[in-house]
This record gives sequence, structure tokens and C-alpha cells, in this order.
Amino acid sequence: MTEVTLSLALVTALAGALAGALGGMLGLGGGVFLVPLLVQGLGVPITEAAAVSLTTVIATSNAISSSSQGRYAINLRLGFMLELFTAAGGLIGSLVATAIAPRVLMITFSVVMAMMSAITFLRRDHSNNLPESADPGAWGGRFLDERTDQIVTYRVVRMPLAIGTSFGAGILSTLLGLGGGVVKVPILNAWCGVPMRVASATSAFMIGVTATSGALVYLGRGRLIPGLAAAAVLGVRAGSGLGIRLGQEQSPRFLKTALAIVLLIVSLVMVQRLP
Amino acid sequence: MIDRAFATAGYLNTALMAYGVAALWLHPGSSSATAVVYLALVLLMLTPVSRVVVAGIRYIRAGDFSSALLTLGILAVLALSGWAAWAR
Repeated sequence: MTEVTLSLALVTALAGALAGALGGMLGLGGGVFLVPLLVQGLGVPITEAAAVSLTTVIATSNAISSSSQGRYAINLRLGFMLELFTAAGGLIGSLVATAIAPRVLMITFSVVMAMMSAITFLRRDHSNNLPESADPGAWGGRFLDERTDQIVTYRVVRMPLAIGTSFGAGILSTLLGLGGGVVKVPILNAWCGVPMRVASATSAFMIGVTATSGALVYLGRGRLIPGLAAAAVLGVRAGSGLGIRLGQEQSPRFLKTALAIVLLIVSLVMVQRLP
Repeated sequence: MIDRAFATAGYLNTALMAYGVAALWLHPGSSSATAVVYLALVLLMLTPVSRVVVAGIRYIRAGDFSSALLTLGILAVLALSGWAAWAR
């Protein structure tokens, strides 16, 4: 097992802080950055890196779900509905893992991320907020936007697309070791009528549940390096607080632009990791 | 009340993890320090699932059985995927 030196623990904690800040602000787990950093930058084996990454995804999810801002914005019912399909996708992903060439999967994922980045950027001025008196429908809801101090109503549209995306995110989560937030947040916001704050908070809640079963398996098989995982989690706790505060203070336009940039970087990271 | 309990548990978990990491750093290879870190990690990993369970109980108490069924479905699929990954 990899020896955890002080410098390795510190760098991992810093990477965890960055992942936590991204998670708190945009609802992403940060695994897509953490895994290559640990593997290529710090020489941690891929299995151990994936285990640490899943642990940080759970830590990010817990931090956001516990925060007052997160609790008000999370749409639990929508999250549970979509999580059901994400979990099913994860199960399918584990069954077909050997049938799909990693290179094909990563190229497809990279292209989709680049397209989502462009769409998120182009739709950065689009608002999903409805008047407070509007009917939120079966899956929508209301939340207090602390930045404007107003109650925001939203209605979820194109539910089949949201379900299909969640299912696909579950498959990708298993095959690529990601939380899946990079897929769900842009789709929910750009096409399904979910405001950015709700999409990111609900996604953050869901990715924690998605990552749990995988992380427990790694833990049970002895592939989790406790010192390294703990350092990353402590970093996440520090970074997520900052990310949540930033996410609350910034406008949806700023958050969407930041998300578009992150998606573009994810796309490029994926190309760089091609086998 | 339960939300506050989850938040408090999160802080306690972080403190436990920080204590474990510090103890590991001061006494490398210490089995008790490693056990503390493992305990903190397991508690961390069980938190999202316990949130689903708590939400399911809330839905049942509120008479919202369709949402309660959703939470039950998630727990079933998670258990199945965990079992499938373990057995592989």
C-alpha cells in the first residue's frame, strides 16, 4: 500500500479543498480532477485514488446537505426520483464495464462535456425562476434565494430527459469513477427548468448516495488508504464551506460561466487521460 | 431537529478524523490511530444512506407513500449494486 508521507497528505488535503470548493459552489464532486492528480501527479495507484475520490465525493455531499443553504435548495423528492435511476445506471455500468472500450467511452464523454460547456455558456442568461405564485407542478418546488432574499418557484420540465441523464450519469459514475455531477447539473439547469442553485444542491446530495456503495466496497476490500482519505476529507471540509459561501453570493450567470469553464477543463482532462 | 443532528454529527466526525490524522502523524503505524480514522470514514460513508432512511421515515409519517417507495427503491438498488460489486 502507498506510504502516506506528510507532503503527500498535505497535497491531497489541498486537492480535497479544491474539490470541496467546486462541490460547494457548483454541486460537483471533484473526482474528475482528484483522480488524475493522485495518479499522475502523486503516483497513487488508480484503485486507491478512485477510493479516495469517492470518499471526498461523500464528504462534499455531506457538507452541502448539512449546510442551511443546501438544505433549503435541495429538492429531495426530485433527487430521490433521479437517484433511483442513477443507482440503476451504476448497477448496469458495473455489469457492462468490460464490454465497453475505455477509449471510446472517454472520447464520447469528452465530446459531450465540451458540448455541455458550450450550451451552459450560451444559456447563462436563461432563468428558470417563476413568480412565487406559480404552480411548481409535481416535481418542482420553491426555495429562498438568500442572495436576493426572494422566494423562487420553479417547475421541472422534460422529466424523461432528467431521468435518462441520471441513468447515464450512473453508468459513467461506475465506468469512470466520477460522482456524476458534471453530467446532471448542466442538463437539469439548461433543459429541465431547475434553477442553478437547486440543480447544484440536489446534485450534491445525489452524488453522495451514488458514491456510497462503491466507497464501502473499496473500504471492505482494503483498497482505501485511511490516512490519505482522511487528509482529503479534511481538505474537503475546509474547501466546501468556502464554496458554499461563494455559490450563495454569486449570481446564477457567474455560476453558469464557472460551470462552463469547469466542463471544458473536464473535457480536456479526459482527452489528456486517453489510454 | 434531525437536520441539526446531522450537522452536529458532521462536525464531530471531522474532529474525530482530524484527531486520527494527527495521531497517525505523531505515531506512524499506530493501530489505535488507524482504527479511529477507519471509524470516522465508516461514519462518513453511512451518512448519505442514513439521510435516505430518515427521509423515508419522514415520508411515511407524512403519508406520502409514493415518495417513501422511492427511498425504499434507492436503498434496494444500492444494496444490490454493493452486493454485485462485492461479489465480482
